[in-house]
Amino acid sequence: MSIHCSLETLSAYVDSELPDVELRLVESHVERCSECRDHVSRLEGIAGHVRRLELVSVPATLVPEIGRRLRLQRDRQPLSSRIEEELRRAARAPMLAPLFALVFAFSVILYLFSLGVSMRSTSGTRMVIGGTSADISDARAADAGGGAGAESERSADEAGVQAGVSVASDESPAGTEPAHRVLAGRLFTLYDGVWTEEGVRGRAVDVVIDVGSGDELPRGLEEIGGVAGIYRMLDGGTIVEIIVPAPPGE
Amino acid sequence: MATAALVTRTEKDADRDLVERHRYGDETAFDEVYALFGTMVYNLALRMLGNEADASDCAQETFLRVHRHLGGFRGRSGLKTWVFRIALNCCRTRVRRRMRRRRFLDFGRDDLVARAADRDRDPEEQAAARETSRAVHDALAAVKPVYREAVLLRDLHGFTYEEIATVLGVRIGTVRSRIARGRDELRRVMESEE
Repeated sequence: MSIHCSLETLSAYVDSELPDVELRLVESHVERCSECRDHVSRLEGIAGHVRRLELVSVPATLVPEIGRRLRLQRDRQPLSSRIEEELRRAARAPMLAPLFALVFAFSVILYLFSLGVSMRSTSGTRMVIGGTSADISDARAADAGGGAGAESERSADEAGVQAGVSVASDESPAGTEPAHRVLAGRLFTLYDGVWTEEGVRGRAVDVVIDVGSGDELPRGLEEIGGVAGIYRMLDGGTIVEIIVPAPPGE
Repeated sequence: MATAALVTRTEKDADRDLVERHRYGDETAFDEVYALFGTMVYNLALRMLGNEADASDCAQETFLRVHRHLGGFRGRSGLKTWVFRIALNCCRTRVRRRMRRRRFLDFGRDDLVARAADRDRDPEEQAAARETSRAVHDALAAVKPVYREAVLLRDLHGFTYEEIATVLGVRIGTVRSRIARGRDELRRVMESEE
């Protein structure tokens, strides 16, 4: 009794798709076995018939039809998904978008930084009068009425210390234009760390103190003039002007 | 072996290049994919479904899907096997739909055989070739779709067993078996008609 190769093996043999060892075994068997040889030739014939089926050319309408359906598909796509698709494409595009974002972020930071610098340079000198200083006990301030400001503007110099007030200063940067500010409707200029109003009685005011309502004026100073809400006093050789804010509603 | 590896690498590079271009919105990439596989896909559909109208619809459907999903193609298999897998899925859907409607496959002959390129042959040879082509075309209709697709991929499109396994999503042993059975069925049908 002879053992024959299976149909699968012979079919794979026809296609040269057998592993080398199996191929040699089948080859030698087919040489000796006429039955398997017949099978092989039949399989080769069938495979050849299919192989000889010639490729039919594609109908001329196929390409335009695919193009038309693609356009239709694109038009039917909801706007959101089309935008998403565009964004996806943009994100995959060469890294220009991140570069622009970086430049933009850098310029924003630069702008904010320059803004900060200019705000600091125009903020001028700031001084806080505690209002409870031992030297400020004169009851005259109470008559002037209540404002809200507990902060006052003045320079950071020893005059402030002489006047018996605590000083927090920030001076205008060297080499910049003198800072100006309006106090009680009058223009003052910061010169060498001292807010002065030039041309008042022929002499500059050395220190201007803006007090809040309820604060007491420094004691022991010689009053040398003043108008409503503004007291001008002499402290040794220093002219001190004390501005009391007008009460609200005035 | 080295040559085969080189070819494979080159093919993979070409596939990757096409996919990348499509992702960046280069429409010519899809045109190239169509130029590479359009005729093959159409002919596979034609032999699977048996008539031009269905084959044309199936080819359209295949390339619409290819266009939609080409950007997501990861290159785990070759582009060719991926496109054919889509095409076969389209064919199977149509075949199943017909089966549900209890309709036989419309293996109309149209003028396929007449249009097959048979230039450079004398009239007698042409006639004989047409007759054989017609017989094979008709016999294919009688072969089970699951065997038919394996035979067509191997004998009409020249896929290796490994490629067929990838397209069909089965093991190589199964491919062997399907091709052998398909050929055997085809032979029996053709012999019975003679």
